[in-house]
Amino acid sequence: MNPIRNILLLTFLLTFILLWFFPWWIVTIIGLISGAVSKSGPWQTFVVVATGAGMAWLLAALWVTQTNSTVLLPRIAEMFFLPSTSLVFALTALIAAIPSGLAAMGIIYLKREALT
Amino acid sequence: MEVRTGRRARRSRPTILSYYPGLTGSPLRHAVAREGGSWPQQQGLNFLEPSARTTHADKIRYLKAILSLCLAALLTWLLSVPLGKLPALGHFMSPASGFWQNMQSDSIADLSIASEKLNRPVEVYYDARGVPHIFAENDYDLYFAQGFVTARDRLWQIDFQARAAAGRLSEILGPLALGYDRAQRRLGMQHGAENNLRSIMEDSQSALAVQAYTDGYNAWLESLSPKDYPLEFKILGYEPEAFTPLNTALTMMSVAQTLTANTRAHAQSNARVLLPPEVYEKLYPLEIPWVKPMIPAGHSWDFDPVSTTPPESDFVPNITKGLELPHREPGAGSNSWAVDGSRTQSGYPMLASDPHLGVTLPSIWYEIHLNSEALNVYGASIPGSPGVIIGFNENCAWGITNGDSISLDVYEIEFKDEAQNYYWHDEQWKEVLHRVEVIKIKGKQPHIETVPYTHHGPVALYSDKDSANSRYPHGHAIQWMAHRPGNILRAILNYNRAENLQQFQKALRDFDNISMNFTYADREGNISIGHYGHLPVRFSGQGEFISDGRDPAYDWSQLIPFEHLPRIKNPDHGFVFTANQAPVSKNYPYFLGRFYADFNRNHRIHDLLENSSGITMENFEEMLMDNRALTPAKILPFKLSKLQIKDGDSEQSKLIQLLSDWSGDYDSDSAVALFFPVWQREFSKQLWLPLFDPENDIHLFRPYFTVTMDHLLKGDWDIFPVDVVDAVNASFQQSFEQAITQYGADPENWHYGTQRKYHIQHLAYIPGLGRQNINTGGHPEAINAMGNVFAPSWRMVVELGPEIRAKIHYSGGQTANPGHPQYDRAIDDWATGRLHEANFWQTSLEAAAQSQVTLNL
Repeated sequence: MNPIRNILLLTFLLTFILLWFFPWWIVTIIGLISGAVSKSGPWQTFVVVATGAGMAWLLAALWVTQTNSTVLLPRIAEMFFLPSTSLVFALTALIAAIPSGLAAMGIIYLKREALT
Repeated sequence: MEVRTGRRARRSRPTILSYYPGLTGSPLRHAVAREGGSWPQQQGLNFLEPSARTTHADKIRYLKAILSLCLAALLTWLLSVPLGKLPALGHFMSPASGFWQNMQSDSIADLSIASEKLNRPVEVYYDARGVPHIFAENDYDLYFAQGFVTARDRLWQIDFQARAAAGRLSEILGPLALGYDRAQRRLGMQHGAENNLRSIMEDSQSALAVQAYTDGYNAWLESLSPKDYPLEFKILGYEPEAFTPLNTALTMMSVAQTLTANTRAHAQSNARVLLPPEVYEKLYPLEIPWVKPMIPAGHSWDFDPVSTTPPESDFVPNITKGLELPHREPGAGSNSWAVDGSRTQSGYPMLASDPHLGVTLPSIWYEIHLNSEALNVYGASIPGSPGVIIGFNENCAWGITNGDSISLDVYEIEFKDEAQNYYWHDEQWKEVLHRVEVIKIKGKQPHIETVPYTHHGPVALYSDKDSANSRYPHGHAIQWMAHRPGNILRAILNYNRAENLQQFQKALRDFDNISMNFTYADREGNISIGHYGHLPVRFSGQGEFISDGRDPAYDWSQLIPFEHLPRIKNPDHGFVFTANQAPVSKNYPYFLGRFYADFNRNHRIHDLLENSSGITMENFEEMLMDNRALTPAKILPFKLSKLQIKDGDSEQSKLIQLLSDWSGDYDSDSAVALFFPVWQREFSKQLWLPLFDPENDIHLFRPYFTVTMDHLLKGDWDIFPVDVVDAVNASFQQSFEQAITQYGADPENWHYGTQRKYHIQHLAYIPGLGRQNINTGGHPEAINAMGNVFAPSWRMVVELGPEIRAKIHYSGGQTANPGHPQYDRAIDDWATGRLHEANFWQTSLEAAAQSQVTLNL
């Protein structure tokens, strides 16, 4: 199986499951784990892990909206001066993606040094 | 063989050795030799160069690792804490615990909670508008359930309001709320709440209700995890605290503050010093022109009044400088009226109630139906307090308006020295008590506010720029009826279960430390109106000005006996009404106050009722939405007759024609309704310059416009410091310029409803959580008193037939969750005047058959 796809899947699944049981910052811990497992380069790992974590939050947010009214979204958009409710989803995904990706990238750099 | 200086070499360990360059040659040579290679001699002195490059790159890689990890940690931390006004974004945006969890579907979620504290099972049925109908078997269970369901819909509001009342907002909002908190502490809000709580807990009935309400609230709170907390807790970044009985007392203090904590004493004292006495009386007459008092003028008072002795000294208070006046929209107030069966189509009495309060989201009211073996009451409750404030039961209905009689006096205090430990009163130095108020501030050291208390009350806040909400002159003491021990709650709980007028009035004996007008109608055919609450016996003018804190003659030594309070029942003309106008005319033997509402609303209600027969509930609904103000019809002919317009200005001519044709209806599609108030404000301002200029350091209230109008129409123009015709014309030109800039060049295209920019703000002014640009008619001078701050907060019509019928709406949803579709849906009906039939279900079986959702406790 493609190792990149494995990391993507691992990050996505871990994030999607653990986010319901742990505080939000579990995404950073998951980033560290994914980085430790990843054999790819730092930037590639950053992109893959950030995508996995971001997608997990995005999907979870979409899931919540499926069973509920979305009247809150324009209110949140107005609160953050965002011109569109789709940017609320984007912001949500980014908040999971960036710390997670950075943590994974840091681990890749550290791992290389530690192994040589 | 070539020397490998590439990747492999970079992964060796020269980094440590590189710190000791003298040792590096030999091991490297050995390493090369071990790999079967030879060391190129020609590289000789240059062999250190690639190694140096490796060391530098390795440093960068470590740096990148550290940087990435630090950045990840820093970002995680930054997203975990609030930054400025932003919430902690990581928590807030998390789909599992953040705002996403506050999204709800259009229904009300079914729920079942068991509580060991309940004596018997309680059933709660929700109707389509989310109104809970509680069926319990005893009082404890009933009020427990009220606390529970109110917390379920209004948890944050109750928590926030209690903190705001107590002056504890700095705990959650930080230093920006310190000025507000100081003002609340100086006003003695907690001191008053503690006094009221003692009275509440001394009475077994009110103590039980408050304790049950508290237990119910806390049962709901305990069932929540942080992800379930209302949205505002997540935005503001704090957690709800458990409810205590003190919160109910604070809720009552908050009501008292809204209704009775205003004072004009310093401004009126300034006016009395600056104006000759005859001018003062002309500008601030005891009876405002054209007002129809609540108790008809010819009423005879059949009692011997309690007398009081005016002070012997001619005390003149010091001028108060720099203290700005609170903005109050002209006419803002409340309406309530009742008619007996002689005037209705059905032959049954009917009642309407329409309190005008600050309209916010969530609303100040919570609609509820309480049913137990001893009680069956429906109406408006205040989140944070058990019982129903305005509403009806199986026998009677009642409405309220603010009494507006003076309930707060300001005293000039003579302290012995700057330490403020002693003050002069009754020819001796008396000790000042100091109450130490600790104001906790989020992220900072607590602020200590030491508030001096005289026997009159607390010494007001210094009027410095740090103090929001400062309304009282520097260093003066406040005597406020709300500080006194009282138990309004007991009155509410008892009038909720009144079976007739006698029981209702008996209950109102306990309605002590807030002055209010109550209208009443019952199924026996009675109607009644009265001015209730504790009011001191005053000499004429006492409390209107700053009082002398040294002289015991200014103390509140006696209260007006309950039997002497103004009230009537079943008047011959078949109706009673209140719109915050003077409760009585001059022949009432007690002085209550001077500054009641002007003639507009009370005259209009009187006219509509006096000329009506065969009234239906629909007629009352139309009355509640009546947009007519009477001021325009009185003053416009005068103003238009004085206007001198340049020939050829077609837009101004068009506007004048529109004004000439206008009936005074503030309908949403009216063009001139947008212009007239602007012109009025400017005209009034220019007429009373320069003494009443708001830019002055000494502030005076301009006379009521009805008083101004009276002088204008009577030709009594000498009273004005400027030329009247010039003021008419100059104010018109200025207002016209302002209007065309703001609303467009063609007056015919102006639209009051959409261009007046009517907004309902969130209680904590959180952007996005209010409702903007509501298309609505109405005006503070009309019965439909849609002001920018105060507006009809609850509209109710009740018909007292064999089967009680009621129609209701109010300015918000039952749920305070902005993620629920019903959060602000009711605002559309409120703005357009569509009332809803109340489901006054008599049995739980009837409720079960017709309700949407059941909540079994």
